[in-house]
Amino acid sequence: MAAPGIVMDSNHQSNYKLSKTEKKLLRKQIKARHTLLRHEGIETVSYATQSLIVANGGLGNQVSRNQLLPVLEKCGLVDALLMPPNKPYSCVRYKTVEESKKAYDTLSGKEIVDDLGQKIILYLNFVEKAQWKELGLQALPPGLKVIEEIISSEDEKMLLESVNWTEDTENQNFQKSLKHRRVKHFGYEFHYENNNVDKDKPLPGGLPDICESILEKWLKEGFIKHKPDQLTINQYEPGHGIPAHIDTHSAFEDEIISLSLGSEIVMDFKHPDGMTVPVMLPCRSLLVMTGESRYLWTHGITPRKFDTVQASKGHKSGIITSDVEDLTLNKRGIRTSFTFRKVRQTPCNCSYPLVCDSQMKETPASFPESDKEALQLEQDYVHRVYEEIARHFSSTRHTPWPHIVEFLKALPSGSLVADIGCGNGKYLGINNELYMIGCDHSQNLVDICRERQYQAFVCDALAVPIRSGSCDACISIAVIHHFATAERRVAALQELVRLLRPGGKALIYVWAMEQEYNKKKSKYLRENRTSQGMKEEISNDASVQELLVKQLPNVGNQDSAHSVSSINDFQDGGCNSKNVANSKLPIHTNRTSFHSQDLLVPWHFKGNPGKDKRVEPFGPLGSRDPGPVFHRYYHVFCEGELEAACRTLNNISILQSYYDQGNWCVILQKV
Amino acid sequence: MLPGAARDTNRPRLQRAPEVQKFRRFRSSQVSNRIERDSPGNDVERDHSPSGSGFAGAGSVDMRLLTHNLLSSHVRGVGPRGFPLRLQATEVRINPVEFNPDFIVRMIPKVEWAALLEAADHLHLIQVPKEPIQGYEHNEEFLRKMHHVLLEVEVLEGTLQCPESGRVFPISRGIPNMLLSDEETET
Repeated sequence: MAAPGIVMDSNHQSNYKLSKTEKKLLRKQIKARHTLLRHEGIETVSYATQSLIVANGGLGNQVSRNQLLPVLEKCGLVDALLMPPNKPYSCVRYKTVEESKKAYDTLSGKEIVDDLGQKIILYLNFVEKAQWKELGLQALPPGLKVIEEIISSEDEKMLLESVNWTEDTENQNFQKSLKHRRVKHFGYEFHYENNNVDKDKPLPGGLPDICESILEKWLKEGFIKHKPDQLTINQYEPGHGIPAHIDTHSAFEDEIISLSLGSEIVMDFKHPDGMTVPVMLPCRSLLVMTGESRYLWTHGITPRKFDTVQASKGHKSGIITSDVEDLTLNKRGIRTSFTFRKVRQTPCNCSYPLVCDSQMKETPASFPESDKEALQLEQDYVHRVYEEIARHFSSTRHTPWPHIVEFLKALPSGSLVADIGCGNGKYLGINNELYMIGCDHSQNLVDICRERQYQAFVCDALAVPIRSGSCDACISIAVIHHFATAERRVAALQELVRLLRPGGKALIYVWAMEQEYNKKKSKYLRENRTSQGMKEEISNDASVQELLVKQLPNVGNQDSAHSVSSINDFQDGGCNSKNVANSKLPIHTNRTSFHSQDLLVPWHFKGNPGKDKRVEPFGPLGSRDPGPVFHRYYHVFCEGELEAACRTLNNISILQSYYDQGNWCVILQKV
Repeated sequence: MLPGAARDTNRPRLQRAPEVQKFRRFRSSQVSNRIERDSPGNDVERDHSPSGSGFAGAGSVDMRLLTHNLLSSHVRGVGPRGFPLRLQATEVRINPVEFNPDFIVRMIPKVEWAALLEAADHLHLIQVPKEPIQGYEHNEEFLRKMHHVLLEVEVLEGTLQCPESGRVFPISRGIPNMLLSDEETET
């Protein structure tokens, strides 16, 4: 430790008592060292070297290169200043150790003012080497072009002045103030509810004359291939943005172009594999998206006041690489974009069917006849729906059911318990004496569990990544009824049993076909529209009925009914569902009795749209006022059916089998 | 203050020091990640909803090593050879949890020790004894050490790799994503 030239300790271990400020500085400096080590893996050293980490002097703290560099240069010749993107620190290398020592002595605790005018205190620590792992050089997404200076400053001014943001909405050009920007539409109105245009209803007036001539010029000069007929003008103030999206394939042709006016901005392009390419769009440049960049990559603008840009390139177009020796901040100005698109009259036939709404198979939600169809049905009518409705769903799931709480409270202290299909995690915190882990297929629901400080991960209930025989107990609440075949339901039960140690117990709840039992109506039937904390809603309003008819013209037609007995052969008793089954799944009316065992249950989405993270560029499930309706697939269980399914499993005994508020429940034990 | 912390010279990294408990985030969301900003109350992302599994503390909770100890690969055909999942972390944090010795005593027999040793080694944590020491029920120093390793170390970013098939599962924002494609599923 006591190497010659130690700085930190020689400064502070002298005989005199440290002043209050000195103590505070020392404390903060140590804190910074710990944070750097723990969170960034950066090891600081206690002896002087050429390189220093400048904590708080980073792009992530609104400190730009041209602010920090002069401060550092006062202490000596700076060899390199590395500023990694979005990090609250930077790394400086001086020519000599003397210079870096001087910087350490004079700049630690120094206050500087950031780009927003807030004071920031720097804390410096020595590091062995100033280095930063380089990310590979990126290229522009295929099919993307940025043409600089495509119009003159005069034209820019004229275009900006032609936009009248003050005119009222009665006017022909539809204008809206969205959450993060202002927009105006010409040619066709763009509907944000379904991310499409009404192709039969062009707006009167077409595109503004001033644009017509510019577009003609671009066509002639070969910058664009097609003449657009729709224009959307967006205005972004600093701090505004637009969520990552792909323009709906069926709505517009291949070529989408966007003119940047007033100020430059960085737009982020993302490949579905996760690669992000930030692209600088200079003032007066034209962005041209075709092919892969138009159909497959999402684009968006992060709402923020500063962009990380390359210091050497200024406002030139191109990708922002992660060259940490060359990054700085650029304050955003007001940017107005003119996005021109050509409305598509025929379905899209691009080569990216996975993200193409025209090519996405309209799954008619029919009764599954094979394992593959069952999987697809669950994918479209269970997994996808929960992912979409996660936040809203979670907000309606707060009251734990008493019998489940009872089960969890009765488990011995120190039990390991897995909640398979944990949803928003409402059972994970019931008993503090247990170690509970949860899992769910929905990433958005698991995110909620994490926010609530629970241990949870994403997986499928048919393949749970927990070692066999490790759990003292498992619960499966309202999960098994989402599997679309009897085999898959049994497989899910089998998977639960696999996790249990011998003697371990599982509690299983599924929704019951019988919503009236022993002459008592279940809570589901009793609750009405006005009650608090209700789970589902009555849906006999006209708009919903209309939607149902549109989506499923065969509802109610039971002529083509076929028997389900081949797959449901252990449920002999009491249920008359067999002759109800139809190749098309019926849609249930909320808070009424069930008429079929396999059905779609509507979810009336009431989102706080701002709170919902993802903006889906298209949705086959339809989105109409007053809010979209999602359909979840259920197989509701008849009396005895769950118990019978459990009895097909080996090595278990059934401890209890009961009915609880419209659910069939089993507690089983592994022997 | 941890009893025994001062005596234990065997800890290379990631020590729990009282003054660093207060701030835990050093991440990149514009203004909120300043180093001097150390009070949890300043963190706007915090959601003070009820705590889970009896462990109080503010903010979200990421994958703990006790959870890792329960996870196993479920790729088709790997069976018990899918355990333990090889843990690599690019971002680890320490999230203080109230010490409950009885709870730790109950957990220790349920832990697959070799898997824990390997994980602690990969993360360069304090040394975990080769096996639970004799009479650990009454050894507070040992229990505190295990408490720290099992419950306080959290993996925020990293990967879990199946030792048999090589399949890599991402851990992103503290959440392991263990979804498999249809072909990978064991049926």
